[in-house]
Amino acid sequence: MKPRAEGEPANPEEIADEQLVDRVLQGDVTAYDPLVLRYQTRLYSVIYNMTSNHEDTNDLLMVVFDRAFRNLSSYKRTASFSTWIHRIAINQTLNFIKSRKRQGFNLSLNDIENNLDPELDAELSKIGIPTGPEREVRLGELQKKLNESLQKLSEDHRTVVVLSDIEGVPQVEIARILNLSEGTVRSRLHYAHQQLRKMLGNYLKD
Amino acid sequence: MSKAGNDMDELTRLLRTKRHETPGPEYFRHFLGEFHRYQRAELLQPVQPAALSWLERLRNYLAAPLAHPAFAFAGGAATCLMALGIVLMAQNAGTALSVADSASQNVSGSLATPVVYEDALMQQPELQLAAGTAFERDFQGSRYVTGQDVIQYETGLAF
Repeated sequence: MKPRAEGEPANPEEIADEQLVDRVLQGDVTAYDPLVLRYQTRLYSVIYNMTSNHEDTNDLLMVVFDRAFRNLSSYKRTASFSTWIHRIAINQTLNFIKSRKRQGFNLSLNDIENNLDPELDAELSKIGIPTGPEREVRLGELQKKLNESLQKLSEDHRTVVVLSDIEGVPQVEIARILNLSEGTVRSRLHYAHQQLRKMLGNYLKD
Repeated sequence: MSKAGNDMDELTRLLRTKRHETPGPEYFRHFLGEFHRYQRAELLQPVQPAALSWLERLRNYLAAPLAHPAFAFAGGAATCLMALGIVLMAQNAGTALSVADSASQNVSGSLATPVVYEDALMQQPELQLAAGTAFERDFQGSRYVTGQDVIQYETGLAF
């Protein structure tokens, strides 16, 4: 283990991504672990919402972290580590989706376990899903409908919706990740919303 | 607020619920360990030469469209045409070869072996009659047939 430099925070959670990358590149491969822990949830969500399949997401997440680790030396500091690893995740997922389509893969939406929490309860109440016994059923239906609608969007449109609406990534950052202009991101988002409004009309209040 | 604006808020709210669609904290607690195992397994994989992996990707890329139902008929038709083409080419090659062989024989002036045509249509079958049949009995010697009866014809008196 590399001795800690003077003034360096003891808790890995406090260390900046770029510093951890430097430590990995200097030979301390364990410094990559905090990066995995830091990004696993976010990248899982991005990949899952693009593929709608848990098994595929798990496999892709492994590949993404592995690829990033192997190519860490090619990471240029022109963008943040977050942008860089999100770009790897999205490219990897898009390649996977294309190959899945070519092979005539039938999408199977998996019944992922919902981790219900008070925040979700509040959000569900706002969209008219009541608490009580029928909640699980209604939630399952909603999840299925949302996944189906997302899968009907083109990969380009789905990507911006996942990053912007689900993950809450700012449009400037999305433009950096996808290497697009902000105008293109806005236009894709606008078109995707139009499509989704048509598909999810029954769930939108009049 | 306009209807479009309300729809937008509702849509955003709906989509935000997907944030909670995660496999749970247990999965993420074990993910790092699983990732380490995955990396170790990857290290044990034999290293594929770059050219081979490139060829593999090319093969997959070329093979993949044929697997798509939309291209299945086109792929099948192309395969049939190719097979037919190969058969026709093989036949043409065979004819050309025999012509070339006979031409080479003539050029060399080899006349020792005459060409024998064994054509089934040129062979005239001989009439084989079993002895003692009614037909043979009737045609013993020359006879004319008048009406129902057979009349004996004396060859010496005829001409």
